[in-house]
Amino acid sequence: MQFNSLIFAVFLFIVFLFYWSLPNKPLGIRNAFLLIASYIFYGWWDWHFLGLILLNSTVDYVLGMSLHQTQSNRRRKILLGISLTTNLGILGFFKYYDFFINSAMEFLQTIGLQANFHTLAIILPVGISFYTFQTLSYTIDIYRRKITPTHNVIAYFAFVSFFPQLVAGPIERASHLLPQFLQRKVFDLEQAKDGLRQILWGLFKKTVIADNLAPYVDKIFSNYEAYSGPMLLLGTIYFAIQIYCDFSGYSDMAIGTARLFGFDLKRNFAYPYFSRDIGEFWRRWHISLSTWFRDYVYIPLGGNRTRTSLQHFSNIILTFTISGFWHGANWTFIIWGFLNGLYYLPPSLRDPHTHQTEVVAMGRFFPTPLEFFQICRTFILIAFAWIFFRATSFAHAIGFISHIGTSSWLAPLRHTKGLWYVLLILVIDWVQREKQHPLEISNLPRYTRWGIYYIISILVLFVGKTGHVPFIYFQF
Amino acid sequence: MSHSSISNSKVKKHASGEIWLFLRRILTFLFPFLIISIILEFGLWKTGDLWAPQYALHQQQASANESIYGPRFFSDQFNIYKLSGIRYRHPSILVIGSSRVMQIRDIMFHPLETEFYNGGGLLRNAFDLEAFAAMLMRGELPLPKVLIIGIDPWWLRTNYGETTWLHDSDERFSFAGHIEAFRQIVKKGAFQKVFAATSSLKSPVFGHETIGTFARIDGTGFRKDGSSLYPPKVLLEFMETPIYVDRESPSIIDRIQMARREFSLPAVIDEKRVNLIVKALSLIQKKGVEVHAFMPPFSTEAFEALETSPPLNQWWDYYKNEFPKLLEKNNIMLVPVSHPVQFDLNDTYMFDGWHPSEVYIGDLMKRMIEQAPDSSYLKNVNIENLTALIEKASIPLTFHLPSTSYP
Repeated sequence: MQFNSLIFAVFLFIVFLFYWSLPNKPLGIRNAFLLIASYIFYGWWDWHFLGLILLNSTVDYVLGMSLHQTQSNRRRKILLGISLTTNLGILGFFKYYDFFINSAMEFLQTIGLQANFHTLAIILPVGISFYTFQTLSYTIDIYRRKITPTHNVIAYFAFVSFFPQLVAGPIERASHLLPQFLQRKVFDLEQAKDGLRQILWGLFKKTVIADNLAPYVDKIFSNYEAYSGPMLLLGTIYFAIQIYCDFSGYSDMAIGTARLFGFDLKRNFAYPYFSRDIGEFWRRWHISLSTWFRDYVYIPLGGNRTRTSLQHFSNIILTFTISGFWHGANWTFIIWGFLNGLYYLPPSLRDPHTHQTEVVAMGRFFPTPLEFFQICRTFILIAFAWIFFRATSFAHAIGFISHIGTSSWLAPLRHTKGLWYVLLILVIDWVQREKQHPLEISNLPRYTRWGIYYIISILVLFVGKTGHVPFIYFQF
Repeated sequence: MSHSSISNSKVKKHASGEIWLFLRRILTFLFPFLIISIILEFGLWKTGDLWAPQYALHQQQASANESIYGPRFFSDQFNIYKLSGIRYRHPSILVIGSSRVMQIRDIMFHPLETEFYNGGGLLRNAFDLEAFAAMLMRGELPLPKVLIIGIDPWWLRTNYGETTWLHDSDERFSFAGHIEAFRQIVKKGAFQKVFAATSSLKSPVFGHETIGTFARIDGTGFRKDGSSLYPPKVLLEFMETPIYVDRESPSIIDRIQMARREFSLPAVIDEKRVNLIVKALSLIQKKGVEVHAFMPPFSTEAFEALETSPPLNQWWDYYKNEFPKLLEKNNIMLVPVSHPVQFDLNDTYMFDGWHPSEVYIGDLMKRMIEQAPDSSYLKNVNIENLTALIEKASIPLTFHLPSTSYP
């Protein structure tokens, strides 16, 4: 059941009506209903994997309670270890088992040893990387005594499986989302209207921009030898925009859907391609994952409070590399993460308090030449790293990159229609970059707003792809 | 009643009022879309485009007169229509292949007209043939006595269709299919055509009964025997100016010379696909079905281009010379690839670079029947009748001329 499908629209409408028709008291009724709806939503992909969510939720619920009740540090560490082992064990088995076996066989072959281990061709349960991180953060935060565990088992299970963000985030923290399940919800018209606007905007980004760029990207990347250098650069730009619109579009729909039920999810994207340096980019791109890695990997490793700069650098590189590996069991993701870690080193040399936090060209329409240069420089670096992310193997990425330099630069450009989509999203994002999302237009007169909604809806209907192209991040 | 419970109930009432306001706004916003959708759906239903292929086929076959099935807006779904046709007609003589065999008609097989069905358009690549054979083996389709199969050269090559399209998913039952149909109507400015088609029940020129916008407006579609009736407009144009025109877009000669689509490079023989074809045909033969293969012809212009295109040489030579030997080795009868000049005809006997006219393909069927062994069921066909049909053809493109002028 994808967000860009009719079945989801029907599902959402039914769940919305029932949810708000149910009595507000006792609290558990609506939460129980959301839990059932979320399990139906997840079971729609493959009901066999419902057991995994139940297992993850149960293990961390029980461990969370035990952690809170136990005073002994040693015992607390053991309990945390069990949580980490269980969660990462399940994730590792489903996501990385075949990768490790294949990598081991390749390594043994390179040193002249013949090995023949069995791979299991395991199907990756959708959303496992996301909900595993969500439940992990719950136990870690209890271990750190940042939160206390909830006794409300229904609220907890609903928090883990909340359908708007279950399969591809944003990755929520218990401290932010769980209390919302423990509050009585009253329908808020303005919040629901804004939620609907954000859903519409997400749908536009996914179906009109990302899905229309996808065929060009697929053609260029799968057959790069047939294209000229400029075409490969164009393909790289297209992919940068495709993945942004695909993933941020999903996040917008998730956040918008949650708002229909009175929940506020974390912002996941904040116009990342208008970042002036890599540090700013990572504060604007997949924010829920970046902050997760910051809080649960980078800082525990020592962060920037290290004795030597080398240690600080290695913390950065390690965090980014693990983050790359989180994306998928392929060396291309690891290299992508490593590369971003390398990019991050120069800004980290600067005083951490000089980080760019404000929206670029705040209060002005045009950026300064310096800002423009910084934005372009950041985009080029990020787009280059995306080549590894999109490539099917390391050799593919290297072949693609080397072909940019060695192929003809005089051949005419093809697939230039995609540039209109690139231009459209960049212009809209730029104009609305100070807003939470570009359709935050409640200040405009009603007829203007409705005109805009109609234009976007017509574009979705007549320009958007209808074939339900899967979201890229569902594979993670 | 306490103060807090009064305020709680006020909040509740206020909230439920807001929910209804919210739903009303959504409905108001969607209202124009709903109205347009209802009108278009109604139009598509009236034309027959929206009818499920199985239902449309039953309506067509139940008609006492010739009836043409030509939907325009869900037209890519004729696999379901053709499979239903095979099940309905339970033919003794079944033709399968791509659109390049659709010109074979029941009248060529007199007196076995009622035992004939043309499943042309069902197969696009070797995987489709494999799936078709599997359906026959599983008993999902009735076994014919004679199977005539047109094999295209691109079925043997790499990079041409990686899967089969012989599935039962009907885009009429998908939201995306309807959106796509609306898009086609809007983009092609076809509102008028749809609404004209809701009221006209007979096809132009020939006056056949019709199902679907194409049939009603352009007079084209599938006859009851599964063969394709080409647009009368083309026939009338030909009568006015009897010259060969490649009506495909892009033209076949361009596709060959520019190595596009079916002729893209590298054009390499895929042994896996070759084996799939031979295996599928052998399996069907083992079930007691007479299998007659033929290689649909090309225009002389296109044939010569294929002969003189070095990058396509290996593939084309294999198709033309080696593949027939392989079929022969497996006891599968074959009419080899040809072009009009080889039959003392010319390219006016082609609709385009790769679709033969019914007169030309009638000639090929005659050869197939003549070369069939005496024990063949095809020997029941009245060959004199077929010869007369070919000789008395009105124009090179068709046996029968449109009698009136196109509006």
